[in-house]
Amino acid sequence: MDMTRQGQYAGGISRLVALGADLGISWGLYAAGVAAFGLFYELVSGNKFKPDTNNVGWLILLAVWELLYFTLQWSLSGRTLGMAIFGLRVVSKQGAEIGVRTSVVRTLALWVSLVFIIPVCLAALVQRQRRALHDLVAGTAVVYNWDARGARLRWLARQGPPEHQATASS
Amino acid sequence: MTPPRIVRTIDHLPQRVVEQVVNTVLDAIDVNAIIQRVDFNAVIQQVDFAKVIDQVDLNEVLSKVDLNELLKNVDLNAIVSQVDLDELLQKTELGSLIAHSASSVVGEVLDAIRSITVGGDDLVNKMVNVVLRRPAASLRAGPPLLVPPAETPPPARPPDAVIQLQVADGSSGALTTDGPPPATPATTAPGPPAPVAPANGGLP
Repeated sequence: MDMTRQGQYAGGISRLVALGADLGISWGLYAAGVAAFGLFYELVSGNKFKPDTNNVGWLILLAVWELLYFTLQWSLSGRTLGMAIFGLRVVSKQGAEIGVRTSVVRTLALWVSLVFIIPVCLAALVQRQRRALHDLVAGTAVVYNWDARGARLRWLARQGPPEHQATASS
Repeated sequence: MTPPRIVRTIDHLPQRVVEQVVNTVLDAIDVNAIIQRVDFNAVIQQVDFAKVIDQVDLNEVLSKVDLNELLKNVDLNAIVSQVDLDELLQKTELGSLIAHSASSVVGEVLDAIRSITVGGDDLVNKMVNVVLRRPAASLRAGPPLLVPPAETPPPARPPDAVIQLQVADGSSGALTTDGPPPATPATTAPGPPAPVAPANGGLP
């Protein structure tokens, strides 16, 4: 097995954690944006900003924001912030970079996957290339994008030569 | 003025006689039989190879060697894969150099959390493969453009030139310049041991 991990199909745990991070980041940014807008509204109008959470307009805005969040990042670099943290990258099923169209399709299919998240996760675990429903729909795959061997070498380097460790411990 | 014909004939006569005699003698001699009686081992032992090598201008020889062509045949990956990088890093200052160039708090945290999640991935994958009774080797590691399929080993090389020698004591042996002896089946040279990846990429 190649120790670098780069280009290998990513596993379910990494993908799930990265998706959770992305949802947290995107919702956090959305909430921050709404708060900033409210502050601006209060400064300009002098009235208290009270967003109606039952308003469909906010839901549509959230959906558009999420679409932009995932689509822009996938089409520009093949990875979102959460995926970058966990060293993952979206590629086509052949391994090439994906375009805007594929990113849009993948984002839309991702929402379907989120609705049926448990069966989708189970199916992805069983699937030979660990591709989830949105991957199969968009013709994509998620691969590792970090150098595990490089990380191990950096860790070994931080330990230093044995005599240095002995001196440090004494 | 050209000499008379009789003079030219007399001039060439010794040459013709010698040629005739040599041909007759060579026809009468069994050269193979003579070679078989020669003890080549003894001859070789008497040769001072050091002196021979001293007389060779190695710089001249090397200047005629195409090193690029030579290096094409060298499997540098196989050589590098035999180097114990872990040992090298622990015994030299190279490790601290890498640490200084690449270490940062963010990098350390990222390495740590990635290694944890990758370890979880490996564990889950193993469990799924066990449940499905699916050999891990049957699964593709990655997309074809990123992880090319494993190459099949090249066919075994045919044996090179074989020199049969009959030595003075009657025993015979085959000297091969390289490659396996002709009677034994061709075998592939053993390659370096494949690196084994720890479950979490080797991180603690």
